[in-house]
Amino acid sequence: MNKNKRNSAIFLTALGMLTFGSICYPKTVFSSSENRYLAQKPKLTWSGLLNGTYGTAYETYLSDQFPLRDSWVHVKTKLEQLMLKEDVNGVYIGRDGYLIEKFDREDIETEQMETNLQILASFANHMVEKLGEERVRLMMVPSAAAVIEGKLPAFAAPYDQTGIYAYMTNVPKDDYGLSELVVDAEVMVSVSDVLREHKGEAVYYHTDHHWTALGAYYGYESYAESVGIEPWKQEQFDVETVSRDFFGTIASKVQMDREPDTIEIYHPSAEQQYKVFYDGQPEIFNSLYNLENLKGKDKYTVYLDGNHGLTEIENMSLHQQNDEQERKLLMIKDSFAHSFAPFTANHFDKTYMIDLRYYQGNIDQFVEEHGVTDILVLYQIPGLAAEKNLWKLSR
Amino acid sequence: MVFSSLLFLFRFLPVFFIIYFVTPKRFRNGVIFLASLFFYGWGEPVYMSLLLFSTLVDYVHGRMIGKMISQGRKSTAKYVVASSVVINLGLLGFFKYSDFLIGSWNQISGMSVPLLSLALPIGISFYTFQTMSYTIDVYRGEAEIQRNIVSFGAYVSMFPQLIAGPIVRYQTIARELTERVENWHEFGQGVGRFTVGLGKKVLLANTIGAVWSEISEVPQTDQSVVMLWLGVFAYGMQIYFDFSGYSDMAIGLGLMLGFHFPENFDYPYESKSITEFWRRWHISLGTWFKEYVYIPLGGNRKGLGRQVVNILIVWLLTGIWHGAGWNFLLWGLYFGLWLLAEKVFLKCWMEEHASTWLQHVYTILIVFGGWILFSHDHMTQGIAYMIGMSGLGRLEFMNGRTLYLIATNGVLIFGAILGSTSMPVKMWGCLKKRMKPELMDVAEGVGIVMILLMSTAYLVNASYNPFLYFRF
Repeated sequence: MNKNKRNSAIFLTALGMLTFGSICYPKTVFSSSENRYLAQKPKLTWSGLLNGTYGTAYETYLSDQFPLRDSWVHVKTKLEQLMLKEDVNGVYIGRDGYLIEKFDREDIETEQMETNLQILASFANHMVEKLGEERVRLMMVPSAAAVIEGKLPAFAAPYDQTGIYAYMTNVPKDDYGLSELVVDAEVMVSVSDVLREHKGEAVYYHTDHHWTALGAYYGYESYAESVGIEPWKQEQFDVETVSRDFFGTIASKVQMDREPDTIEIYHPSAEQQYKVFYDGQPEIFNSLYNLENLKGKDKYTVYLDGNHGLTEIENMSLHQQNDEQERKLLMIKDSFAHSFAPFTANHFDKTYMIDLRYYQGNIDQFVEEHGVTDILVLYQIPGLAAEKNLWKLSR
Repeated sequence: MVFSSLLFLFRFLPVFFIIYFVTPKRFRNGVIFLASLFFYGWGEPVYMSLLLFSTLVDYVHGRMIGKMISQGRKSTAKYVVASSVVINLGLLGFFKYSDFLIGSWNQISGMSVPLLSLALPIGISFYTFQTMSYTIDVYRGEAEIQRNIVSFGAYVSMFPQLIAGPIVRYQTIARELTERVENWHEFGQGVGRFTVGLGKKVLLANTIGAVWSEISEVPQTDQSVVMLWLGVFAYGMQIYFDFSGYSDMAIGLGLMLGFHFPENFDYPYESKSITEFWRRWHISLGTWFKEYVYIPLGGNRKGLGRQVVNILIVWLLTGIWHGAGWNFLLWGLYFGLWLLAEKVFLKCWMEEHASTWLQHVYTILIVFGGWILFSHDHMTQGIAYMIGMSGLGRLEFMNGRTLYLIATNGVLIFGAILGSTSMPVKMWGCLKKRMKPELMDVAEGVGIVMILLMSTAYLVNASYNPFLYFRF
């Protein structure tokens, strides 16, 4: 066969096979590796066809439902690695099996971040007035890239996320009149210093963007010390490994073969009784850990069942032995708080966790109604830079 | 629709091939016409009417001109040509330039006439130029009139080159519209050409383009002099691979269907002068302006003074053709002036006194300097960028972020430089002489499949697939 004929045949065969495959391949509703619902075939309507929305929807459908989507992404990652790229799809291919999200200055110092920090400062100052300075804390957790630099690929120069702290506590000299947008250094928990002290330990997952239970423990330690609570020692916990095959969110972004992560949970050696309520539902859970969730893909939800608008933890043991004034902690938080709350829950009669993405009520009112005595705002820094719901704090 | 999409590759193209090749020859132009309308209307269905309008208007004009000329009324025919040009430029002007004109007017007069905010119909700069070439060619007697409106529609709307060229003058493919022969030999060549273009666009233009888009977003605190130079380099490479890749795909698709479109790029970054650069970059646009503007204005036949004016007119038009903005006008003028300088003394001096090496460096610097103007809609940003590059700003010469960008993109940068020259093709040629021809043929086949699969992987992965030339 002559060359041009053969090339034509090869090309048409490849094109035909992929086309046939993409038509016949079974459609998926939910992609567990991407943790989202995939687009389905759009309904053909005259109006949709004429205004172009059908076309756009169809293209999304086609790429969402393309057969073996994960494998194609895997191939793309491999190709980039062959080209010696050190980051793929916004993820550093780090040392020792670490996959680390890449954040640069423009990803963190966003306009949204500026707005959020101002809201947080005035919220914190307002609450300090109400509850006292010892009772209000802001805790902004840097992502792995700003802590475990040793695991980054050669020449990586990530943005130092702790610049946010300086922003929160300093007013530039010429910016008078903004004093309410600044908080006392006291109010900021210096969690990044503590994490950096322990950067040789496994404080972040290899394949997920969260901190590990160990990382959360160090976070708890620094929080407790800053509010004058004596933190429990690590020896006061029994550590149980509940999963050895956890592939987190970052692994999904690049579809690389990596060693899976292990998930650990901390049980206080002195047994504690808790009651957990989710979103005001009547059902009561007796554990902070939801082991059922380890069967699914998103295993991080083992901690306090993942995202809920309102999570309430009642510490029954503390209740029984203590007759001082009850302490009730309200956490305004993202998912970094889920592995963190099991530690603080041992010091508060009640812990309320509010996720502003799903919670619609008024926070001031909540504090009044529930007799909240302590407030902690806990966010991951890159997450905070993109968070669009903090306005709910300023109502 | 764009070529570098899953939709085009795995829906449109296979269905089109099947319908096209089972259809008897005399109906194939109809298939092209309908498929092209579908292709064009996918994103903005309303603008299909524009394409139909253009087809109808120029078809009627062509017929009228043909009739008048056959009756010997060439002077009357002139008015019909004028009418066609006015309508085409009117369309282009209305959709592409009205907001620019209103905005500029507001700036000068201090008034606030509201903008129209029309979505720019894709490819309008290309097909209006093509249809004008038809009526003018017919008037000049360089092309027969097309009596079949379907064939004419196929020419106007021809999807392979509809949205990003090459600008095919009517006379170039007039014959092939009616008498082309599709065959496996050329289909195979087309396959190779198309795949190479796809690879250029998806594997090179998009990836090096990501470097530029990162650098253009980097806040000033993190910038460095070297980073800005890298940015311009990445932009220049992106635009070359994007545009020449698209032209390759167009030419390849043309070959598959039996058309021979003109070449549009000839390794322009290898040029030794600006004059040469513009003979090798977007060749079909240069030819169009030469044939339909420069020469009719008198070209170089009416003395140096007139020639200078003509050159400046052509280059201001070339600039503004690329986009409705002052920066594009300035960009055109910039090249007009360099070309004049070369014409008058620079080229002569360089050829006699400058080393080849220096000529290359000079050309690259001027061309990439142009890309700074081209890439910044706001002149002040462009100027700030140039100051940053010169080292006169307050930027560090080099910083950690720049080093990382170079390290992580090193292979890509090297590949882009190599790929923008004729070296790979020449090396392949040399290799062919040494190796068994059958082996090389197989290698080609493997290469085609590899590029197709790799591009698919990138397309599946990417939500990032902006096509630069949509603004033109």
